[in-house]
Amino acid sequence: MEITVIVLNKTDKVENTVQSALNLKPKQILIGTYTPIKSKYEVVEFQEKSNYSADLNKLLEMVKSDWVFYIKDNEIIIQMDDLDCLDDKAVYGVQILQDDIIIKESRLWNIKNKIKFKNPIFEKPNMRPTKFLDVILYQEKVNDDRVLKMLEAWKKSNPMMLDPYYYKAFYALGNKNFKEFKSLIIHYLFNSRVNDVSCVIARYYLALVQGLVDGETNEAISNLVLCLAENPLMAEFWCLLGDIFTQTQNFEKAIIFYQNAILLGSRRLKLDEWPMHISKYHEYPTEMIEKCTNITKNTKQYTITQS
Amino acid sequence: MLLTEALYKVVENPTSLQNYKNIKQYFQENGIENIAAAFGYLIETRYGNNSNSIEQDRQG
Repeated sequence: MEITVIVLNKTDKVENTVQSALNLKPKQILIGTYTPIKSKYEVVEFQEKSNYSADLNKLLEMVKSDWVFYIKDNEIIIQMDDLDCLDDKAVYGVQILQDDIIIKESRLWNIKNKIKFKNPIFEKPNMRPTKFLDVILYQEKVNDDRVLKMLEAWKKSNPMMLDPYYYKAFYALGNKNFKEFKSLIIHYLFNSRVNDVSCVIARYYLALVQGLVDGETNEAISNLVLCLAENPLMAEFWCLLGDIFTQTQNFEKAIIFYQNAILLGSRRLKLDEWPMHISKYHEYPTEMIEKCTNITKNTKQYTITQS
Repeated sequence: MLLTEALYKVVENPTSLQNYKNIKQYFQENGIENIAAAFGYLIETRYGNNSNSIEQDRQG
């Protein structure tokens, strides 16, 4: 099979990405850029950073092979999988490691699938993965100062569209603006007509803010129950239940929820489409069980001494 | 029993064996075998040989 790698140079650090993409033995490498760069691969210069997906779609029109692999300029490939015998109709997802979190995104597909990029700021293919490869990309965190301005422009040009609310909410959360996050994400969840992975994760973060920041325990639990109903093997959800009960000093209940995180989380399929906060599957709940156990033990000893 | 109702019962009483059995049964009946098996694993690990005992559940 022949692969074309496409990458958009947003941060002027595209060289490492291109080097790591050579692991795919690509037939063609297409680099879109906003600043002039020297490269032995095909370079397409774009005028301004206003719509990343539109620019990537222009690169897609120049693809000369049957398969496309998309990689971001802040990513490198750290683990490869066997790419023989791929299914033409499938859209392949890969694992993307961001510090302690693994997310899954569509990155390899056959051009017969006619995939296009959507989302002008946080560009991504317009189809969710239908199969997963054991390929891991490491993604470096970058701060794009233009994000807020681009989000505002996106929201203004598509006032009925919900996606800008979602991304603006998480931008607010990243800046610890919890009030704005809650307001935007509640609007998003209320109006969303689907209940996909993004919605469930949005609800989880809403529960996190409600439970751990605003002390709205009942609201947080209601949202977490809805999350668990979608996927009870997510250790993140059980850990948050544990955290909420730790905060309300119900340590014995908290311990059970942390245990549930370890037991049920260990049964997750390796290559499902859900994100994974790695430490929540063993390290964090184990540490919290020990802390909660020590507190309950000390409290009991104190009670006996007093009587 | 609705799944959310079964999950609320777990939040209320997370040590009750029956609450986990209800969830396992829900996923079994809906053909979601991997999640049913995960709850089977939790039940087996936490309650072991007593997982069929009514007495154990009452204590929970």
